[in-house]
Amino acid sequence: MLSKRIIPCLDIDNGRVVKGTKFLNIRDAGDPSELANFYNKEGADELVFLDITATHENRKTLIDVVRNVSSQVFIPLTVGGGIRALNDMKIMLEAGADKVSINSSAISNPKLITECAKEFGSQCVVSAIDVKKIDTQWTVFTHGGRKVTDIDVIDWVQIVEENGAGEILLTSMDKDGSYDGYDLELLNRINEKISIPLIASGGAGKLEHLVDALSVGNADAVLAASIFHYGEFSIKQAKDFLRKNKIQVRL
Amino acid sequence: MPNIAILDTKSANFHSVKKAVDLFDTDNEITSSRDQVLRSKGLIIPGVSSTDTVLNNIYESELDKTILEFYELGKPILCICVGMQILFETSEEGKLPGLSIIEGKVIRIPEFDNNKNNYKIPHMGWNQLEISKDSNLFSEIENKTDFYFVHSYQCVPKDKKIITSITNYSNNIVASIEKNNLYAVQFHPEKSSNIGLKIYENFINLTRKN
Repeated sequence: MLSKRIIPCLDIDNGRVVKGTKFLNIRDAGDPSELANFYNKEGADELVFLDITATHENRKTLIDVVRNVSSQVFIPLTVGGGIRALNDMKIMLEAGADKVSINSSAISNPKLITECAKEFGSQCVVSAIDVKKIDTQWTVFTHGGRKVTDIDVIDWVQIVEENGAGEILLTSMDKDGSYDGYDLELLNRINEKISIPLIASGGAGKLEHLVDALSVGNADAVLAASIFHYGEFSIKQAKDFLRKNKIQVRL
Repeated sequence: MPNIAILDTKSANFHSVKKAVDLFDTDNEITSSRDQVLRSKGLIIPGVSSTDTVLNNIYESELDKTILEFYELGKPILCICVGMQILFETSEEGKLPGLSIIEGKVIRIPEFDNNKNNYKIPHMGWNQLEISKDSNLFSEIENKTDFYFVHSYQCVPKDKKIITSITNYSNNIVASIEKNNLYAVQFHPEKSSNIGLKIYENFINLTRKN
């Protein structure tokens, strides 16, 4: 039986992990390789690195991070943030990434997904989508949540799948950082529309929230940053808890 | 000559494979040279992307003959994911004929199980191996261990006796086969954390026995 995945997300700025470097020893180092190694030992199923500034300088340090981590940590690595062209993706894959997530650029040019999937296979292409509810519509935002579009996410997920995305990383901006749980209704609505794996992101505060996203929300994987970085829970604790709740995980 | 040749099929994730091999034997090379391949002690055929892309590269540079020659020399070969699928006669994924080293076909993973439950394709993530036959490749690896899979097609060998493990999804998917000196896995050992690295270690140990 396919295991549900737990994926820690590392936001990278200037070669350092920026979320939660202040609270625990492991984060005092703030070093992506150390954190990646730590999460791997704890049983993380994949890792996501997000370039939060997407500046030219940060891109260079991110490539070094990926190169370094991929020679030590042998689990799937996804890299995202500021991917604008096929060549950006190629550079990341050559540095050792297994998947690349595309967000804003796909909105202005949905064919970018097709282009990347054709060249490297759908399994490499993750469509990252940031969503906020406006009135009754879950609306897609771009540029790290700074720009609103008029696109309904229910339509958008079908477009990215048709264009060749292999997976969807869905972040609820309403829930992000709220610690009050993933948007289960949103997850369910999206799941009805797609036949590719769905990663839930935004809102994890308790281990019950992971259970809910994976069972009630029917997500294939959960992404979390704060609850792991700030040391509230370890990945091992999370997996033990999921297993107790009859969710298949890799131990 | 390198101990381990990692076949350059132009479209594979050979960087990750090389990094994993480096941990156990730094004397390895990503190559498509017939001479280098034939003189190495072990051959790895990595696989990412589609079967036709890989097969096209293989036929264009006549690597099919090299692979067959290497196989006939009796030295260990490890094929990964699409690297496994190209060994068969046909694949529903593409039009090109396979290498036909293994009798059988490659079919699309069924979307439904026997109870009409719907499954997502690709089969992506960690799934448990059910080891059905002893294999040197699985030395010190426990049954029911999770490995990382990502694929939309599955191998159906004619001779079921070559199957060494399966994994369960919408149906039982052949996860590994072994035929003489040929070892092939559907999962990605280079992405399956420490237990996956053990597969590389076991394979490299096999190459040292010759």
